[in-house]
Amino acid sequence: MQNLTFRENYNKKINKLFLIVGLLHIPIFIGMAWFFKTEYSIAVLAPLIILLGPLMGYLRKPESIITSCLNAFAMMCFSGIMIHLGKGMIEMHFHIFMLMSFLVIFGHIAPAITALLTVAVHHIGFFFFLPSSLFNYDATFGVVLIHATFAAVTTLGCSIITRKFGLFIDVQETVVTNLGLVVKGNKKLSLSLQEISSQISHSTNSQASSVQETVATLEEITKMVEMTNKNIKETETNAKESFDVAETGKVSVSGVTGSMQNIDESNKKMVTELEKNMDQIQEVTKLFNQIAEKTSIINDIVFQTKLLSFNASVEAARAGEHGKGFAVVAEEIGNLASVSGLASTEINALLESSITRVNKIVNDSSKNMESISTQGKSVISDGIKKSDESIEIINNVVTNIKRNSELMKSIATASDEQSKGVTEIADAIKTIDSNNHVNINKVNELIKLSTEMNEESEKLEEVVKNINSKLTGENAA
Amino acid sequence: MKKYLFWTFIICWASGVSLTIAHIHGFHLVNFQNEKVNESLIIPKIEESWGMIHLLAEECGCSQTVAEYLIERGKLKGTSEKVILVGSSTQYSSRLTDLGFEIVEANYLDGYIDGVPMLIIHNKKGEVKYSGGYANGMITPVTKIVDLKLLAQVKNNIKSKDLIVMGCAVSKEIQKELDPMGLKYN
Repeated sequence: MQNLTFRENYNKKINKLFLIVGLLHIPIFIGMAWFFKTEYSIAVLAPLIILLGPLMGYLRKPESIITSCLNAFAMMCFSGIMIHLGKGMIEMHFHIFMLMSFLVIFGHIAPAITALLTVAVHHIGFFFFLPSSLFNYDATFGVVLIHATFAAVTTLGCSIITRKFGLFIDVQETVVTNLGLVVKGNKKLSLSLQEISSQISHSTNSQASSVQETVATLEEITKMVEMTNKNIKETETNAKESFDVAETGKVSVSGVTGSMQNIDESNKKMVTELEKNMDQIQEVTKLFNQIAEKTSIINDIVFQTKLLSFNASVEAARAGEHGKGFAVVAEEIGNLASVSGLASTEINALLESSITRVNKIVNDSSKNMESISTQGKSVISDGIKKSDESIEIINNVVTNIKRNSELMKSIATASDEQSKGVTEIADAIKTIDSNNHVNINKVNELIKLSTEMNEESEKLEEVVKNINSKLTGENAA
Repeated sequence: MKKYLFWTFIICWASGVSLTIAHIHGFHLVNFQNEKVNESLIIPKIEESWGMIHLLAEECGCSQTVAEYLIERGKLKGTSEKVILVGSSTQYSSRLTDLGFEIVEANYLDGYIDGVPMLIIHNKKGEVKYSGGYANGMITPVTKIVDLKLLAQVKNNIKSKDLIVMGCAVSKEIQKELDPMGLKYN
């Protein structure tokens, strides 16, 4: 099917309307023929013959203005038939003016001019060829001119109205076309809006679901943060305690160092004392040596005693009976001297042994003491060193614990902040969740509105189609 | 080619329709009043009263309207009224006769008059005082027929111009001249 413009569709509709109007004249003409006792044959056949022209035009090009002009010509011919069937009644001429007015509906000047020319040619022709029959009185050409003037003025008026009506049709075309475009745009827009709303709804639902999951996760995170916070506080407390313990340890280690120094000092004192003892032992040894010297003196004395005893015994033996007692005493003195010599020997042996042993002891003790002292010093030195190292380590531990504690404090602060942040995020997420619900409701409303808008667009489209159909005769479908 | 055929058809159609309409308009726009009507042949020589002679044709719509008018108003008292009917059908004859009209049926009126309906009014002496139409223009069912007014005028010697006779030709010569295509007169 050929795509016609609004104007062409309108022309087509009006041309069709005029064909129908022409056909509707037939029953009127039959009625007139009956009433005025004129020819039925003319009442039926003449309209059909007259309609052949516009019908051919319509079949060739229904939207053409030429078809409209043919219709205008045919309408004037119908007026002629009506005048004839009305036996030339002057009142039947109103049909001409009525139809000339009706031709305004074309909204084009050509049909009106065609009608005017048809009537003018008809009357001027009649004036020249049937002058006595045109009017019921002796009309001059001036009268004909007056008639023509009225017809021309009527046509002029009709032409002005036609032009205005044509503009009105053009405006209608513009309105309907633009309205159609607006409706199409509106429909497309409402469909897009509907689609977008659905997508937003879907996204919002998904978002709401995600937000709810996030809320749940955040609650878990909050709990975890709270737990972490608690743990951090505990750790902080522990760190503090560790710090205290380390401080105590440090004090203790410092005490150990002090003790070690005390030990060292004590050791030194002990060494000094031992050296003193050793000196005293050496003094004892000296005494033993002096004793030994004295013992040798005693041995000399014993020896001399023995010699004396022996001399005494010898003398007592010489003194006979009188010397017997003395001999016994001398013997006893000799025995005692022997015993003393033995004892002195034993003492001397003991002294030598003691001196040896004491010397050995002194030497060993000195050696041991030196060794012990050296070892003790070394151990103490190591102990002090270790103690210092321990102090340093403890200091480091303390420093680290202190730092850790500070870090834990920072972590605790951060954790608090984090907890607050998480709480704020949770609140924000809850707000988002709440807003999501609002958004879902709004989006649902938007979907409903866009659906309604779409329905309204469809209704409007239907209205535009109906308007178009009514104005142009084009099928609304 | 189609275009030329179309325009040829349109020109022929427009010309034909124009001429035909002009032609049929001529049927009833012709004044059949004839000054040379041979009234003596249809008017009685001696009359005792004023008389009206109605010349009508059975096949003429205007004549039928006049006949129906006469049937409706009835015959005038004190005035002789004669109806001369042209045509084979006599649908009005009996009814007019019953009303007191004198009916004369004729097959044709060639040589007497050119067209009907025509009214002739004569005095007691048989002198034609009026010869013309029934109304000012074509006779239609809504036309006011003024025969009684005309009778009163002539009786009172009020002079007026005879009304034109518009209707149907009864003269074969005029019928042929007016309707060469035989659309109205067979």
